[in-house]
Amino acid sequence: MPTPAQSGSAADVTAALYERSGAAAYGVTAEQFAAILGDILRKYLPPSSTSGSPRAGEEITAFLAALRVEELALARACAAGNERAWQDFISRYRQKLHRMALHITRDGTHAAELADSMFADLYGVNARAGVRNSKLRFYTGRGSLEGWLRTVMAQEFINRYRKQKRTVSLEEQAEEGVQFAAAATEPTSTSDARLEVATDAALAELSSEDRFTLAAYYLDGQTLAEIARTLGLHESSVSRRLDRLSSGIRKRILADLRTQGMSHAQAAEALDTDVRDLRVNLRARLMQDSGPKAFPGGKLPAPDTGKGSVD
Amino acid sequence: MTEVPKIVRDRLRTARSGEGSPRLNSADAVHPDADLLTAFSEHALSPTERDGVLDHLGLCADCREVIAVALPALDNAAATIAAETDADRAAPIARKADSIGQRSPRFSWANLRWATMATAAAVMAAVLLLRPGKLNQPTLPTPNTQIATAEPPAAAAQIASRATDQVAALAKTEGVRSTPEMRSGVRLETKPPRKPDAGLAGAPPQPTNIGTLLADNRLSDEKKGRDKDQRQDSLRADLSAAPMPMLMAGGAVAPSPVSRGANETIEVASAAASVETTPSFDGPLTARAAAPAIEKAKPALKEMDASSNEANVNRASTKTKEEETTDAAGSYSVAKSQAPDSVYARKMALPAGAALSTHVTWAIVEGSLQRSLDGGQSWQSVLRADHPLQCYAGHDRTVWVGGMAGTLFHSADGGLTWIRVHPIAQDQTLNAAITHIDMLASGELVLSTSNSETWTSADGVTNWVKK
Repeated sequence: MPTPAQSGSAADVTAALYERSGAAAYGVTAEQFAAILGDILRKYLPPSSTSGSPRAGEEITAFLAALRVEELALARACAAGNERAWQDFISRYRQKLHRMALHITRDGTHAAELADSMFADLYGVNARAGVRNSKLRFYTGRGSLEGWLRTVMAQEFINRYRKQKRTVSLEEQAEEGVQFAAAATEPTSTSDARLEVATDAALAELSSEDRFTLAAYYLDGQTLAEIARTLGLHESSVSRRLDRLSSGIRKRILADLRTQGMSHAQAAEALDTDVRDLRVNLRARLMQDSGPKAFPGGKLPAPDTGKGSVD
Repeated sequence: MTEVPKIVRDRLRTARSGEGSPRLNSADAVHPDADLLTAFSEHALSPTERDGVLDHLGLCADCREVIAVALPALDNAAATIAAETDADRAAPIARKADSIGQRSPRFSWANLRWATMATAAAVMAAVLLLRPGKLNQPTLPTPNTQIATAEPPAAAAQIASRATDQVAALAKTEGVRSTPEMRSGVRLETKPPRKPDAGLAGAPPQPTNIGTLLADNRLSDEKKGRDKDQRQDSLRADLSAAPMPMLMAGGAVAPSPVSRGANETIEVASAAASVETTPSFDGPLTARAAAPAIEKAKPALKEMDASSNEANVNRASTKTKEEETTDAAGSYSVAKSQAPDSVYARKMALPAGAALSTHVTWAIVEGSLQRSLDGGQSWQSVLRADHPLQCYAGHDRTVWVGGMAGTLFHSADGGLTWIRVHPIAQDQTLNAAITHIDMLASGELVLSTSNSETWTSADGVTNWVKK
């Protein structure tokens, strides 16, 4: 198990990080801080990933050096209940938390509610065995504390939104026009399995970033700017990438379909078929349009030939 | 943006973590914690970790939603960077923020792009304003260019020569004596005469075209209903046919747009300048401009006729042609001076025929000078300055008008053109209200002011003496 204390250099790094973090001001000892770093190392650099690697020491050192130890010390001291740490935390992040909540909820009332709930979670209102269960103890310093707070707040907001969605009243549903909404679609099933196979193969060849770009744009409806900020690219780069991906996937699927025996026209037609159209239950549709049966018995009357007798 | 086939969207939507993708194992199905998502958003992960998170995000709509909702506002991103207390961390984070376009929106690419377009549009507008007529219209030199002109063009010299001749003629006939050299301390500001018709080849050159005022002349409003486009068309036609160079300060010649008809709105411009005149029998009338005094120059009216040397002959010719082409009766123009002392003068244009009349009657009504050409039966407002006019002294076509705050105007052509005079004596400028003006038979001008001072000048232009 790689720990900072395993090598001299790692110990030096740990001591330097402790010095840099200012954890001593919050009453965190060097041993406690080293234990915190050890926990973080075990979480993100499990022994299996570094054992046997000649550069394990370097990886550990680089990993530790990339941590935001000052904010880590503050968060862990807050989780431990240090008053000075809380004062610093409040002075540095209270306003930011309210601004984050307002940015996420776009509503003043909900923002205040979300921020207050967030403060309660961070402080750890729910105590177990006399120990407050503060969310700040989950902060590991991989990213900024402000970013972590924003992410946690976003998760909380999404969870609340989903809960409220389940408990929305019928009146609100009526106001939102739910009664006029189309019925939920069934899972997609295409008539031609070859198209699914070709599509899955084309998607499987995509890189993780390309797949994320496609999903974020076409499924989530994110803007080019949002995707660009997430990936660290320029909007125009994302736009060009999407163009390249969409045309490339189409070509890849068409080529795959042609190798499976389809002509180009057939492949293009299959690819352009709206999968939603394939869900139409033709039998039910025909039954609905045919009207009530005039002869429930299923027997058709004999054609009137003018020669039959009457029973 | 090229659309992806619907089957692709459908397969992307139905994909879940751990299914449909051979790259994912069971461990990938676990959602990354808030720390990893934060580090991913801040681009603080190693390439391996980043690929792992991206693999998950490509399949997990929930985590993509968290990432999208947790995206900071653009201004917050910059504030976050600025709030970094650790100097070691500030630099790389700032570089990252720059790389992802999270700099201040003010300097974002989108804003700079619009700023570039706006600048280009402004430059185009400026070019169109300064060069409105392309090739067949005279170009408008800037005042500085005119001032910087060392040698006046030939046309300027020709017109300057005519103007000099007219000055001499006027001095002889009307008693306005031009000294060999104007002394320093006297500034002349002239409002160039409005040229009612560009087609008037015989329009008399005016000595007062030595411009010191920037004036906007507006002609009579009797025909205000005339179509504007028609006027502009005729204006352009006149300009292209007979551009009128206008003598500007420094001897440069500025072409001027002219509107046809007596009721046209015309902008006349000349540079404001202090001038020194050197009447010479043959040489051109030179004007030396004081560069700071020049604020703006606009196109003048039209080309002055160079065919006549005698002012009276010119006037007679002007009368004849103007009667044929314009309805000048009752027409007027408004001159707005933008000289450094902010004199705003409203000048009512004098019909060419009336300008030749020797029976001009003057009166001051409500602070403006009015003129009658028919013995008092009808009056026209001729001059209105930014300060009320109070008194005048006139004889035939020569008239002096004084008013509040040392306002003093002179016209030697019956009110067709006006020169503003700033009397200066013993390094003191006349600022008091002029209450009385006397024109002595000897040509001496005597001004009485509200503070009981008496200012005299042998010619009304130079050598002022205060008593």
